[in-house]
Amino acid sequence: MELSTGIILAIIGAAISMGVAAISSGIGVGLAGIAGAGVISEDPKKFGPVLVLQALPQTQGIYGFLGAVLILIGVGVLGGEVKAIPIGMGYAALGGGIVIGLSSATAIAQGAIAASGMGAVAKRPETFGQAIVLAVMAETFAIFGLLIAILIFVGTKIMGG
Amino acid sequence: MIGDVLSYLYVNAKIMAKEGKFISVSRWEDLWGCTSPGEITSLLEGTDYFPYLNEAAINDSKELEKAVLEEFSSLGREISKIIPKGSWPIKEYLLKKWDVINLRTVMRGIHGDLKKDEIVDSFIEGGELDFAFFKTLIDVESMDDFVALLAKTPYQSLTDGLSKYNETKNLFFLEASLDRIFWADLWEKVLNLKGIREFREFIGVCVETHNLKIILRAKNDGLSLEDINPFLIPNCILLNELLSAFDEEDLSGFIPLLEDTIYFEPLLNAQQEHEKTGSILAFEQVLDNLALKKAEDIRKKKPFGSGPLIGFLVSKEKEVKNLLTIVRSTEVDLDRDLIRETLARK
Repeated sequence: MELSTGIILAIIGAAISMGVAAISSGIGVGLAGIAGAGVISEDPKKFGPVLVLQALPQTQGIYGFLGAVLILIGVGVLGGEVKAIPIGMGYAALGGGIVIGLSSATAIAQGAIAASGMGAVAKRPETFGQAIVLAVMAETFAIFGLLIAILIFVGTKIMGG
Repeated sequence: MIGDVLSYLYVNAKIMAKEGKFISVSRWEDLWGCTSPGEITSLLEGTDYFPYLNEAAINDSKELEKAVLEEFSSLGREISKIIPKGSWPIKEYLLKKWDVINLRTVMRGIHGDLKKDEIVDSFIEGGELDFAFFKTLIDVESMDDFVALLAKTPYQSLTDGLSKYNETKNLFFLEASLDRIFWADLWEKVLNLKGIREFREFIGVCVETHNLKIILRAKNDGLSLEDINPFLIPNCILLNELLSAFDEEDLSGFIPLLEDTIYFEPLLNAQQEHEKTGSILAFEQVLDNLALKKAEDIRKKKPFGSGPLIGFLVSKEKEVKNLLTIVRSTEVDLDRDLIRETLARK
């Protein structure tokens, strides 16, 4: 099966969306995990709050996955016949994938915030709510990225076309 | 920067969890009112000190004191194992401190002609020197023999203070010499090491306060520059200026020389108490507080990296000192309000 340039660009877009998001989330979760291990080694009862904070940077990975699936469904690679999409639509899919991939880099910062938050919670358990709010702030930009990507997909008929 | 943050991530999370177990304000309130080791022991339940408390600590303040110090020493060893490799001077700071404490115990034992068992009981494990070595030190007959036994250790230059001690029988010279070895060695190491700026800043203040304490004591006790020179730590910004004015100024004239430094105001405030009591304890206390304040400033300025660790170590030391003050106060019938006032000042 020969793939058109448009499809190849869309697949690259999906790969960037998932790949970069996976790396970013991995780093973020890793940072939070290191700090989490430090807290648990001292106070195993803090596993609950630590787990919640460590899970936060994972969401960017989910956005990346979602973006990649939307592109792949939109161009027919998943759940149907591969469409012969125009090259312009391929670029649009690539752009959407890049937006999601880059905005998912916020997971790294979120991991660092979550790591600090774990320390704060370990010291003062009552700060758990505030620690979550601080970490979620970094999430906002990943959501904006996902939103823009969806707007691109809808506007260019990759979604709902 | 990122490397610094990463390497301290585990350490900082762990120490923040440890800070969560510091003695709370309400428990301090109760501790201030304690009049016996048993009461203190029961109030320490749930803290990191509790596992170190045994039956003897309930009835004996010396045992309780030792248990508190053992917890502190064990904490130092624990942290020294997880400190990033590039920050090895912090590890030295944590471990060598216990060598100095044990050596000081031996010196005070010999000076005060204490029983060997009493000296051995006061030793705290946790330094860099072999713990068995300290037990060999107590068999000496004199301070000369003790210093001679340290010939192949980093403390061999204790001989600097020995002649003055033999001349005056004042333990200050040996203790100042011991402190000098500890701080000067650390200062030399951090001065030549990149990447531990915060710790260097902290040690810099400790070194300056060491020098200031020696100079102020010399002025108070009428000692000459020649007497104290072997105990001062060189390569310190403040030192040269102070030494050039040493012969010209008396104690009160010395403090204005420190204008534009962090030491000026606290020392000026302590001067009134010094004039009342004649003791330099007031100066020593404010200087110790400055090291604590510096550690807190570093912690605020650098929330990642080694900042929180430095802040934690100094806060923990403050907690231990305050706790020891309360434990010791049970031996003598001291006014509770006075203890409270003393601790608040610290």
